[in-house]
Amino acid sequence: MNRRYLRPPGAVAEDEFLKRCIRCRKCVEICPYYSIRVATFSLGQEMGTPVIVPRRIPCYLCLKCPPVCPTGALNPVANREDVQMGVARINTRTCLPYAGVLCRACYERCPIYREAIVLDQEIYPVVRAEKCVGCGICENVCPTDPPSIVVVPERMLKRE
Amino acid sequence: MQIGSLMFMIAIPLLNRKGIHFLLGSYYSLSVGQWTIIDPALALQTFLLTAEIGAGLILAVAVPTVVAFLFGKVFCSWACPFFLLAEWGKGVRHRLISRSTPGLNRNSGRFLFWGIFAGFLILTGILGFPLITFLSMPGLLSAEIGDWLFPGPPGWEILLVGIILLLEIGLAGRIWCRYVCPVGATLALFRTGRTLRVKFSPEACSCPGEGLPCNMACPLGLNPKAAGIYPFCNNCGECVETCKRFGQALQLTWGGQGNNSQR
Repeated sequence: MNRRYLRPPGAVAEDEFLKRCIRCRKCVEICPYYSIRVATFSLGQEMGTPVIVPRRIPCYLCLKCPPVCPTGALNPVANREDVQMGVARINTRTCLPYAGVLCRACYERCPIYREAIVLDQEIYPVVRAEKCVGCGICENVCPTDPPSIVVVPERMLKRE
Repeated sequence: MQIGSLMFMIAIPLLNRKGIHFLLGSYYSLSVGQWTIIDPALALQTFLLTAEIGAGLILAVAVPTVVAFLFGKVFCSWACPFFLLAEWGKGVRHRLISRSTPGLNRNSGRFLFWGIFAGFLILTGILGFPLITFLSMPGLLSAEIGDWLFPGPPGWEILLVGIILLLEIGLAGRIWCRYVCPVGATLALFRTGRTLRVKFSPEACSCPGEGLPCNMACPLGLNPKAAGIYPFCNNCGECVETCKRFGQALQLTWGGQGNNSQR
């Protein structure tokens, strides 16, 4: 259950999501970036549910998927700033700027530009949790492997 | 018709991949433009799991409900991709194992049918698990075809379709559609005395005895000459078509009292 995938934008709380989602694949089919995939890795309740694995393809926040959900597992989101898929966390032990190598990959690509990721002293990226929407673009573009910035899904934030 | 329906299910994900989203979804839930349709069985499941019913949900089940009220379970015989697979499965069974000896079919098992359906609903409620999603053969098949075309492997659920087909080939033909399927059972709920039905006129029947053409034509192994073909019968019309070559004693009609006036 602790697989680190995200739910599409507008998803209700995980328990509720698993009950509401009828696995119809509409969100998967409408996603223009193929960000939303079907969970095929388990035999549990997640079977057939939509997931986003940002390291593969992140969510580009076009917000086309919530309105097509027929059962309210995804609720329409007005602005991309209102999305809450998770919060990015930086591992400062592997993040390049913290090791003295100049890198602004996540900072430059963050769609909530200069709000969700800010540069401390013009060098060190810092995530502002209250602004981060959890789209995972930062995780996708991070040049280190494994990525030094990863999104903690919303459902796991609450458990902590 | 069913091959067309299968093609339709293959076409949707392909069109979606090309960026055309006029048609969207699967046999769980389908959108045509702005109009959304939900399988009533799944709307029922959503209601059981969330104890909420919104206007959207009611609107979305309107079309299938009205169709079921007017024409019966025609979704099963005209559109369901599993119906087609199960027919092929029955063909395989006949070739490999046994051809059932011609005789009179029996229309028994109504309590089994409703009992299994009630069991599924109760289990869904108790477990809080979307059971009907995984028992919907049309939904599973269409969704898994979509997953496979949308590059990605199909999930383990698809094995369920295979298992059921193998069971039908090995044990008995068409048991799933006849007794078990919750999608069909939900549609059967909307049958009333006014819904389209098969009517039998005994005075016109010209086939006495056993090995009746109408009995042999029925995909579900029912006897259209006797009472009690509902809730199993899905008005596919095979018996009626066959009977046209004999006494024309079977007809699809609305209402009216026939000798086998069955509900």
